[in-house]
Amino acid sequence: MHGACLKGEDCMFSHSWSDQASQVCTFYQRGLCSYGSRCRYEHVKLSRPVSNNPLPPLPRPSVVALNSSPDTSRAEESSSNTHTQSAWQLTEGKANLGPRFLEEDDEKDVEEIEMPTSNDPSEIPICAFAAAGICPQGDNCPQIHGDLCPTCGKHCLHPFRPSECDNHRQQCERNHKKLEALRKSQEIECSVCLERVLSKPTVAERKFGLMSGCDHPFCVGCIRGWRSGSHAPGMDIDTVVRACPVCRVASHFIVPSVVWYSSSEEKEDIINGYKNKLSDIDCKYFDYGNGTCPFGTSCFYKHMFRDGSREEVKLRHLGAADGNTVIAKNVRLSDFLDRLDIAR
Amino acid sequence: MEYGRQGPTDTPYQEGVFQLAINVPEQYPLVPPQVRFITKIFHPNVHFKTGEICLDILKTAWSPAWTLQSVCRAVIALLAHPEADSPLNCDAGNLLRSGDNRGFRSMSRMYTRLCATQSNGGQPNSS
Repeated sequence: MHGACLKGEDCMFSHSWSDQASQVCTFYQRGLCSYGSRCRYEHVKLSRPVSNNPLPPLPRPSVVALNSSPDTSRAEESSSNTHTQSAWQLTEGKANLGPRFLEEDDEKDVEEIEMPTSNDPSEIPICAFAAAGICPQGDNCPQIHGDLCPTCGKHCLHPFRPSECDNHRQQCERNHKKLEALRKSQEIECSVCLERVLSKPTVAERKFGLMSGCDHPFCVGCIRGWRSGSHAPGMDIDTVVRACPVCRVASHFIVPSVVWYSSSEEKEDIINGYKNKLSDIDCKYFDYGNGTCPFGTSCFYKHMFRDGSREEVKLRHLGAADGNTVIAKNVRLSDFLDRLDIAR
Repeated sequence: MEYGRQGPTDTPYQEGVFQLAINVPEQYPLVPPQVRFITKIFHPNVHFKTGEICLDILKTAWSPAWTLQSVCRAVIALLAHPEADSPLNCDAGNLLRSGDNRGFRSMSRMYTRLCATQSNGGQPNSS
C-alpha cells in the first residue's frame, strides 16, 4: 500500500485502500483484537462455519484463470487424485468449491459433463513442479510442462494459453524492472546526511524524498526536516527553504518513495501513484466542509462533504492592471475596506 | 573546532596564516555552522574585533547540502573577493569604496604581517 510491494499485481493481498477487507480477524476469534472496531478485518464469531466466509479477492491472474470457469476447476478437482499439485492451488480449489462437491449427486453430474472438455489442451493445468524449478517425474510427468519464461527462468508459460503467457511475461518484466530499480536505489546517497538512504538504521528512514522540481536525491526525513525546520529570520522561503539544497531550484512538494527512479517516466509514475493515494484520504483541514484548507484547490487530499459530493472548484478570473488575467483567491470585503482607509 | 589556513595567493593575505573557529551546532547541517576568525584580519566583511564574518551562505542562504569543507572554501573565496557594499569593517569598506585599492592592500598587508605571520604563530595580537 505504500508502493513497496515487490509482487505488484501478483500479490495475494489487496493493494487498494478502498477495498473492503474480506478476511476474518483471527485475533478477534481468539477473543483479543487490539484494533477493536477500527480493525480492517471482519470480526466474525468462531461458531460460524469458516467455509461460508467470503474468500479474499484473488488478484493473481494465473490462479483466476485456473479457477474462474467452473469447468477448469472441476477438471482440476477430479484430476487431483492422479497427480500432485502445488499445495496452495489445491486449497484454493477446494475452498471455492468444497461445500458443493460434498454432495454426491452433484459430483456425478460433474463427472459426466466435464469429461469431454478436459481433452482441450488449454484446459489442462501445467505442472507446478516444473513451473517452480525441477519436476521429479521428468518426461514421465502426466501434466504439460510449461515453456521457459526468459525473464524469470521458470517453465511457467502455458503452451496453449497465449493470453495468460503474455500476462505473465509482462508482469515478469515489470517485476524485474522493479527489482532492478531497487538494486540501483541501494547505492543512492542523500545529499544532506551523505549516507545511503536505504541503509539507514530504521525502516521509516529508508525512504527517498523526491523533489518535484529537480532530480537530486535526499532522504525524506532530511529534506522534510530542512523545509519545515526553524530558519534564520532573513531566509527567503522560495529561494532558500523551498529550493533544492544542491541546485536551488524550487520544488513545491516532496514525494516519499522507497525506490529511486532512473527516468522521468518512472518519476512521473511514482508522483502520480502518491497523488492517487492521497486523493483517497479525506483532508483534515477541509474537514468535510467544516474547515478551510490552506492549500485550496491545489490540495492533494480529498475534499468531500459528508453527503458524498465533492467540492466544486470555482476560479474567479480578474483582469489585472497590466492586462494579464489573475486567479482570485478568497476575496474578502475587509481587504477592500482596509485599502479604503489607507486611501483617505 | 579550529582551522588554520594560509591566505589565498595574489591577495594581501597571502603571507599570513589565519585561524578560524568553527562551531558546529547540534542541528547541523539543517542550521549553518558558526564561523569566525580568531586571527585578526583587515577585511571589509570581517569584524575587526570579534572576527565575525558577514557571508550570506553562513546566514540566510545556507544550504544543508554544504559541508564544512565548502564553508572553508567560501571563506577563502571571500578573502580573495571582498564585498565592500556590506561592510562589517567600515574602514576597510570605505577604502575600497572610495577606490583606494592601493591603500586597502597596504593596510591589509600590514595587519597580515602584524597579526597573522609565522613569527607570532598566527595568534591574535593584542595591539
